Amino acid sequence: MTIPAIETQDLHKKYLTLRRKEVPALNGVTLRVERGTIFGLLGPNGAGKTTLLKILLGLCDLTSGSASLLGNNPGDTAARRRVGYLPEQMRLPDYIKAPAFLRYMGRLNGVHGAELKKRIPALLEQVGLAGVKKPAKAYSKGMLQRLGLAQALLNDPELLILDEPTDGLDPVGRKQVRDLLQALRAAGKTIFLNSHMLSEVELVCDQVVILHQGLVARQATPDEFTRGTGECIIRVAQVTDAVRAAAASVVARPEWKDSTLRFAPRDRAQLNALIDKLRSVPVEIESVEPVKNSLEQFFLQVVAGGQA
Amino acid sequence: MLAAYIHSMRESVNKRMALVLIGMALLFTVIFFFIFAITPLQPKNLSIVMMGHRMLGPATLAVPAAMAAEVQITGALWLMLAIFGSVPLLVSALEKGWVELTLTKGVARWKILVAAYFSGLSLYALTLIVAMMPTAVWMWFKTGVSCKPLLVAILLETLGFAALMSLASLASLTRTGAAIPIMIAIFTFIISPVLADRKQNLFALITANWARGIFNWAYRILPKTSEIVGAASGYLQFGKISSWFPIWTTGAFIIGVMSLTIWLLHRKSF
Repeated sequence: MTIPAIETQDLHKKYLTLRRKEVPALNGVTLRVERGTIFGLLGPNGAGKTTLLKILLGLCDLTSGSASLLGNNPGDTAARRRVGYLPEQMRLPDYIKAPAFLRYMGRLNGVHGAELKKRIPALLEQVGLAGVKKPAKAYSKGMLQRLGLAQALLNDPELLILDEPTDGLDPVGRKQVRDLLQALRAAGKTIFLNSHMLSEVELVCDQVVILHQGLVARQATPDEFTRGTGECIIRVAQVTDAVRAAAASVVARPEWKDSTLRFAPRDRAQLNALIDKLRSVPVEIESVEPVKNSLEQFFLQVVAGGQA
Repeated sequence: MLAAYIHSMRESVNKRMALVLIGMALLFTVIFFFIFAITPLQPKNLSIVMMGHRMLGPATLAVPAAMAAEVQITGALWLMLAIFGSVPLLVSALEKGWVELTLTKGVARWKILVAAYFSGLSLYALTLIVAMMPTAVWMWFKTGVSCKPLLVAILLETLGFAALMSLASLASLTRTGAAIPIMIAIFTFIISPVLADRKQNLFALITANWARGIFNWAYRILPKTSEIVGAASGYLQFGKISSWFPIWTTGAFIIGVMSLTIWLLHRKSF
């Protein structure tokens, strides 16, 4: 069995306030991130996402349970050399320029000078910062984010942990990041993605976890989250009494809204029978669509405590 | 660790701290050249006039006395200036938004802080050399009396500064900015001569034995920066260190405080 990129077992974290009061942040998180996948971490503010990332990266200790990063303890420096991390909030020294910053980050990760000379220009080109001469204080949020991505990729990591990677990027930049993540997955890298951009998570992730109140509320693939509800919507050109009667003869208590009928067919035969009946009125059918959940709907249901 | 050290040194230049200190050092060099005047009196005797005070005697006595005076002038002042220049290096090494980048790399936490600590010490020692060495070398050329003992004196003074920086390192773990670490370092620096002369001055006011005991213990534990400056000056004048007590206790203080700092940093949640 291969060692997962990330694994946590019954992970608990409690913070102590100045008055020695315990504030739970994680209440038993168990998850497993397989290698070569893009894993999305979702959750409302205060769900424990950042705490989880900090524990994985060795920035803070766990209270109980276990966590492993590429098969090692989270604080292990050798393991961290194989990880790239983009924090949500970066604060760079005002004066520093992109190549000098990347050189320093690379050296901290043990990347040799000759290797850095090759990788830095290539990465700056890849993230669209080639030729930018100004210091970090003159960077826009989007430029900083691109630079952050470049430093996360500098050591050619096996595992990338990205905290809001598309924050501050324009739509073109977001698309570039999505393409980059997919290319990295194709190259066998594992990506652990923490994002509030649900549509993006839906587009790129293989597995999604929703963290709520320090617990894994749901874990599934985006397809499972957005699977059809079993309902469908039929849109017709014009709703007349004859059309209403035809629908009522097949579906018990049909609910019309303007020119659309939303209902849950028992089976495909019932759906076809309804279409035949409507066509015989006659009325023109404009579209027939299955109703799907969006990840956002699902997320809101989970967070609100509802059932998916 | 070398990468973090180089980064800190670059930061001190880019944030103008090193430039200000080097500027001040050059200013001191110029001032020293103005205030020192060497006049041969007899074949083997020499007169060095420094700010109106005349040091007469053979070069082997007059030059060390002049260098000792130089150490006395710069000693306290340079400690104060360098605290303002070096402590921000420790603080910025642990700044929010920056530690998330550095401490998640494949490097031990303590190396980042210790690198900033040593870059602060280097900044102090190098600028002190810039401030004092040119006049010492000039006197060496004029009189043939070596300036090498001055390097030992600078090393001793750096030990005093290292003690203040170790306290600032410990205080910088609070991550509340540079003000608290600077205030703690300056307070320790100010209290050092008070504790050293406690028997002559302080104990005239404090008669309770228990309070005297507290001050005695504080003296034993805390760094003895003023006495170290005195030891450096004495070494230049007499070629030996009169008492090793301030030196070894300050060294032990540095080792203790830095060990505690590293241990707390290792356990700290960011």
